[in-house]
Amino acid sequence: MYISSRIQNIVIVDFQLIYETDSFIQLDFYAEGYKRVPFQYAYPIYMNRVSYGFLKGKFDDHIKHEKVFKQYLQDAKWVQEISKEMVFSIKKVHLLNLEIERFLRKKVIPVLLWKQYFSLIADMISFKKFSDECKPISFAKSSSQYEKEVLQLHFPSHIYLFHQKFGRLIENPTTENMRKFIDKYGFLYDFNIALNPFETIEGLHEKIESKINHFHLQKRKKEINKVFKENFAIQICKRIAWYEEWRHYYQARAIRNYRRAMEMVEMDICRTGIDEFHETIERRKNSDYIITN
Amino acid sequence: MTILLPTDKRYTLEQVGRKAYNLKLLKEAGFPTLNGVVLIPPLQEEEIKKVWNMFSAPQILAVRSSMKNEDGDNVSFAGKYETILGIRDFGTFKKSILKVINSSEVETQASVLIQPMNDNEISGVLFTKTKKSKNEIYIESCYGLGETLVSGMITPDRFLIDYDSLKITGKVSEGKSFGIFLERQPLKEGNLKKYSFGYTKKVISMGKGKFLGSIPYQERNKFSLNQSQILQLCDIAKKIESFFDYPQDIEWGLKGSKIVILQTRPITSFINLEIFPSKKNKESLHGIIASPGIIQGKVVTDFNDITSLDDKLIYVGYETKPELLYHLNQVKGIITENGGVLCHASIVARELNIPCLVGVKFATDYLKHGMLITLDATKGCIILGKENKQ
Repeated sequence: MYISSRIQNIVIVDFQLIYETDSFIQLDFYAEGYKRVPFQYAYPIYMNRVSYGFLKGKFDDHIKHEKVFKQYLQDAKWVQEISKEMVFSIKKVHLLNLEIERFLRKKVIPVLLWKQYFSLIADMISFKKFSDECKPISFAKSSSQYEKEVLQLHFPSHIYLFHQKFGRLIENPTTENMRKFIDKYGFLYDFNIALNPFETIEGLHEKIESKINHFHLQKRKKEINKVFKENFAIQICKRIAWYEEWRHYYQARAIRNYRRAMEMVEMDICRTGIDEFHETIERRKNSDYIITN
Repeated sequence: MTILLPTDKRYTLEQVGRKAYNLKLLKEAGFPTLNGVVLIPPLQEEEIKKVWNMFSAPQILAVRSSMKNEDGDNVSFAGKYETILGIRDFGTFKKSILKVINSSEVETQASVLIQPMNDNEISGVLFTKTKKSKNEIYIESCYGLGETLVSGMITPDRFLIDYDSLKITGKVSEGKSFGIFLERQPLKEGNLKKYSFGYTKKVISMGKGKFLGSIPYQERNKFSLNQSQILQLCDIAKKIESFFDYPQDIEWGLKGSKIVILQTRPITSFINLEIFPSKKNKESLHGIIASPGIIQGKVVTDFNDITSLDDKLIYVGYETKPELLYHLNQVKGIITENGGVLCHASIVARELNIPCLVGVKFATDYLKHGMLITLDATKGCIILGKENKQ
């Protein structure tokens, strides 16, 4: 993930090397999120965003931070606290989404609200490093027991949600239902900012009329949580899995919201990074609101 | 002794080696190639300095071997002798020449070819024949300099072209997330540089006047060569083959619309090529059990290419894609290279009670579309081509 040069004392993370997405904003989500990781253990940030999706810092600082992060991951108390904050970060984005989307429907872009939106999304993504590197099994009393329990856990899946709702749409494909599907689930098809076939009425008609038999998804299995209530390792595992699924959901939804905002102010939806987006809405604001045609 | 390409009439194949000699012949015949200088030991310091001053600043040079026994009709010794690229200062230039000479076991066999480096935006190799009996041209291409291709850092785009009709009979692109490019003017990390194919972003200096550049999504998944560029390459390649009257292995570079031939040599071993070359066969692969179960079925990597709706399919990919669920009436197993027991693939598979293995290294290299396999997600392994006897 990192490219470093000990001789030049630099470390670089370019999310463009890692992710397949047509959106600079998506890469900036990851970059800004990664930059904020040190806040989780009360350290100052050591990397700066120098271009879209691109972070640069000192190699020495990076080694120091990696060491500190690994130490914190062994601390059950810290893991407990961070995992809670991780879950709350999703809820904060959820609440602000409702505000943002309410204003978008009125064709209004409140500048400060959008800056807050990016900040909350970045905070949400900053927990990705924790979710990637935390090993709940290290807190389990019996690793074999833990492995058995994990395989019995069931979690919401944003892909599953997408197909379940599409299956319902096929059963009742009215225009109104299609509009609802587009608004709530169409964006889950991929992580690109450009419109996908499930985000237009014409595209949906084509998919519905497609000759492939649609798979009727079974009712999702209920989460088994009572048995493991007192088990710390499973508790952390559940929070991580829950966070991962919903992070993807809200990231995809945020990309969709940014596309709508950029289209309103006629920006290039793929090649506009977050700095350019903020500069543009700042420049065009009229008493804190952009009123579009 | 210093010999100038192509104008110097003094030298022979025995003096300068096949590489330099072929380039001289190509240049004389009007093919697009670079000028150069050949140095033959023993060498004096003044001679080396004189050669350095021949190239106008700011120069970035390549110093290559052109040994007497290299690139012959039967044996090529490809990769055996030294090649040093990205030389910007006289000190490195002098050391490089000595290094190349010392890479030869016998000094009298050594000659050194010096050329300016070309700012290749796209590079590659071309074989004018793939098998002795079959008429096909094979091209591999990548963004930037060819070293990512020859070193195996990236999987290049691949094209098969019918020799006579010049119709493209097969092509594959697996995504090109980075390239190595020449850096004539210093760039800061994160700066964008525009090329004819689009933009690249400088990630880090590689030293020797080169930088690693990341490729945006839009360019990454496109083929690096378009139809017209392929036809141009094939046209030049056929003429070169006809000129030497023998199938050729050609290294080329492209800048804008200009093709440059960097090297040509006779093909010494004809490749028995599939457009999807497979690495060495493995009888079984292993991964992490994300959802237990056993299933035998056909590998699916491309849902647009399903021949029978009755087949049991086992999806194989780097990670799960949303379209996977669209085909779940047929997909009875999932294998991904990436991920752990909490990734999407795992969660979906457990929801649906279908076997799933994640973290299967090289799964996409070994398991090809249409292959019959057994996915045993009780033992964490995949068996190729055998029936499950349990």
